[in-house]
Amino acid sequence: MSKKNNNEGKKIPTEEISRREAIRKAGKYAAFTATSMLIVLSPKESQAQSPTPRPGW
Amino acid sequence: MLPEKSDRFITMKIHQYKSSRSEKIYTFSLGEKQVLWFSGINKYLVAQPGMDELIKLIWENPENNAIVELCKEKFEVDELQANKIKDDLIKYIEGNIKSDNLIQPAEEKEERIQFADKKNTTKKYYKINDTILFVEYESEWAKELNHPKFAHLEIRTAGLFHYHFKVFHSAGQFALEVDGKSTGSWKEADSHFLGGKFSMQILQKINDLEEKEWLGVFHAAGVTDGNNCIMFFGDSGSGKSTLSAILMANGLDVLSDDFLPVESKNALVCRFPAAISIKKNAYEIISKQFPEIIFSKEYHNPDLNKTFKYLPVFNSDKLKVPCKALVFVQYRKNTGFQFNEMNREEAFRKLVPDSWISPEPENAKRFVNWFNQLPCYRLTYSDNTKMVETIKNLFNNGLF
Repeated sequence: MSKKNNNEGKKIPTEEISRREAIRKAGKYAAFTATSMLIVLSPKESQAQSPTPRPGW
Repeated sequence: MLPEKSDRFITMKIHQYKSSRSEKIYTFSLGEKQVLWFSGINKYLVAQPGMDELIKLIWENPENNAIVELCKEKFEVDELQANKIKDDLIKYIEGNIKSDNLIQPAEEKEERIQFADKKNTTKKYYKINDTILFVEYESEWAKELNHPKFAHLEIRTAGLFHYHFKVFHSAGQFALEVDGKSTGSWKEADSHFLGGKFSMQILQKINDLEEKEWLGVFHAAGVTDGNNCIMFFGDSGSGKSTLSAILMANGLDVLSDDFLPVESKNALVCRFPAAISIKKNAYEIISKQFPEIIFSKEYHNPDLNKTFKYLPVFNSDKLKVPCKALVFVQYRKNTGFQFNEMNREEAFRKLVPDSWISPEPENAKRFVNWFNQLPCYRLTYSDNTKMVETIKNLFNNGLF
């Protein structure tokens, strides 16, 4: 096997990274930024209406 | 001191709170993400997949040893790092979800707020389909907040009416009473909530549905071809109302330009027959199709520096149609036309804080399911012709 072929053998093409591997890598990253991956959303507590007129205007 | 005989009292419900961890957490999918919904406090948490188990454990008991073990396993970290992650997550949850929100009404105390029952109220009757509303406004401001949007539905006299609304205004506060029952009170600075509740009560009465029978009321414009609805979202001033009026001038029907209700049972978008608010910079373009706008009364809101007129919508039949797509719109001069699919999570993040979504667990579940099946688009435009053509195509075949 040529040197060139050996080098190609070591390189793992992106599409060949297993799903588990990808999750593991993402997990390690997430370990340090866990809270940055959370977003809290609050709906309005009551129905609201857009800009309304003020008297005398 | 005893009140004058002509004075009257409204009994308001004042909530007192106590800490509680009885809220349940419901988990839904949102594309690749997860949504955790906290009942009782009506908050949505968007998280990476697999985080739900961890959040639930922390929520139930932050001292649970299983949390650190789960962090170690999930993130493949050592004990020290796992503890740090746990502490960060607890801090985040306490700060963003629990804090003073870790509360729910414990008991309701009745407090009497005095509103003078003034004799000089402005009396109006409105007819919406077969329903006649009798509304008394206690001040000019109370009237101006609500009447202009429904002025086109006013009838001169009515011997009989179905519902009696009364808008009180005293000592810097508004209150709304419907058929003798208080629905709430608001400071003058929160008058947009009085407007919202006034509209909500009308919506309930004309559809004969209670508040819990609505999935939500969206800060959106709804346009229909008679079979489906496309909902347009955007910040105030993004051009939703103008876009609605332009589409109306091109043969489509406007369900609402600002207060768009979705019924819970079948997730159908309903008409709300309030007038469309047209901002000053759109008078010219709207007057080409609706010349009457030139002579309409102009209003101004100095707090928001907005000048506008109301364009009546005379079709008030009870139309309920399914939603076909959500479009996040932005009118921007000289941009031509851009229409693209939008990231679902981003759409969710924009939609939720700008809407009233029912706090009922069944409705929250239906809301997320409903949202999940709708395509989301982003529309940035200045080319009205292209915009109309694209929206009509979207109605016809769902493609663009």
